[in-house]
Amino acid sequence: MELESDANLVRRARDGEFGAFEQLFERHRTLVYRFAYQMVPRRDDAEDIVQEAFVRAYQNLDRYRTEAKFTTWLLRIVTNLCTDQARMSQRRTALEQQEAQGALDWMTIGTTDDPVQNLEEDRRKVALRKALQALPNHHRTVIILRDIEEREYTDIAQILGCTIGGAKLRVLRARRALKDRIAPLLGEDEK
Amino acid sequence: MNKKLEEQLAKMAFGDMSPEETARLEQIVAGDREATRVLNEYRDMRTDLLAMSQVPEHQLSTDRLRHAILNQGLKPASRPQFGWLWIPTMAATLAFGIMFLRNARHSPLEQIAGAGSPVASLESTGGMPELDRAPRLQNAFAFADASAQILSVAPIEPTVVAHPRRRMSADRLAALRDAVNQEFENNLIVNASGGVVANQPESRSQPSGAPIVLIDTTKDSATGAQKATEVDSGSNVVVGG
Repeated sequence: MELESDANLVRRARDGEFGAFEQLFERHRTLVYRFAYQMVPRRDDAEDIVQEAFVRAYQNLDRYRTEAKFTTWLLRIVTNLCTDQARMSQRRTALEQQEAQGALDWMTIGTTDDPVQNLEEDRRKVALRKALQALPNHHRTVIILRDIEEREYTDIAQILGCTIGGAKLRVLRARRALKDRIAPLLGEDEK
Repeated sequence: MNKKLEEQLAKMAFGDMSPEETARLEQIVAGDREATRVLNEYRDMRTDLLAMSQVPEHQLSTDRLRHAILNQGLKPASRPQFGWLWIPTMAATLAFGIMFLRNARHSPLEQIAGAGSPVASLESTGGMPELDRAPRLQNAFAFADASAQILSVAPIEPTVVAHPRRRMSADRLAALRDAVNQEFENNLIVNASGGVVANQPESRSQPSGAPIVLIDTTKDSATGAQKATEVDSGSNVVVGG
């Protein structure tokens, strides 16, 4: 059975069919949640952001233009919400970092049988997680969109409201900033 | 390491480079230990970032969303209502435009004298119902006589205005004004009782049978008084300059 397109579901939701909007929610909530969780690595906060994003999307369905992807528009809303949330929760940064370390418990610890290599991978991942959370919000956003969610530069440009060239430049700068932050963390772990 | 090379290495590590550029850069990196180290760092970063795409399960549900939206009375913003109104609005505007143009075309008097002028009453009372349909040239004089009898229009006094592009001295302007006024006054109509009447259209409506006297500008050589001519009717008299 062919899935109904996002544009059709939006049209039906605009006409008052809440069931159509629920279908959009079920279709895209995991994607949105994954992005929100990378931005604010606490499950409760990420769920709150996802719910708020869909509430705002529902209230502003008339502003959505079908020329753009629905997910792009949705991620733009989530990006703005995450930015607002980051500003409000600066005092919780230390706690969030602890949470981020604890979040690794559920991750599969390496896929190889070599315990030394597994340990090395874990160390890198811990350092990467720390460095990612320590990045400024605008750098973290583009790293997550491009290098974790693997969005195209055209989508990233639409989400951020910039040109494709601007999106590429932002990603480049963010990667360099992330790498510069990882190196000292790895060096500290070695000590 | 220079920034330009590091940017190239980052692009290469994350697959943002064309195969040709990748091959060219690999040759450069092959002989550079520092470049190789940086390239490997970026490649490890890419691998670890992709691994971070896995996240813990969420507990988002449609019930929760329904509660957040519908139960709190939130509704989608309605689309602009004027979307369908433009059609009747355009139709009404077009109708007004057509009516205005038709009225303007069938009422030349209103165009000249203004909507509030006595001319408007001429149209409204239907004083000349055939005018708008008759050829204008044939009825021009009949219209002039008829309107002269009906209308009472204020005398048109000459107004001298300096040409906007030509400078004229104040003395010359005053002299010109005096000359025009004099010429205007020279075209006076005097009724039989000797009273001087200004150049007014209503002066044409003399009691029937009353003679009309035209004062000439030339003076009689014998008496020094201005010459006058008596006429029976003013229908063939051109008054004014």
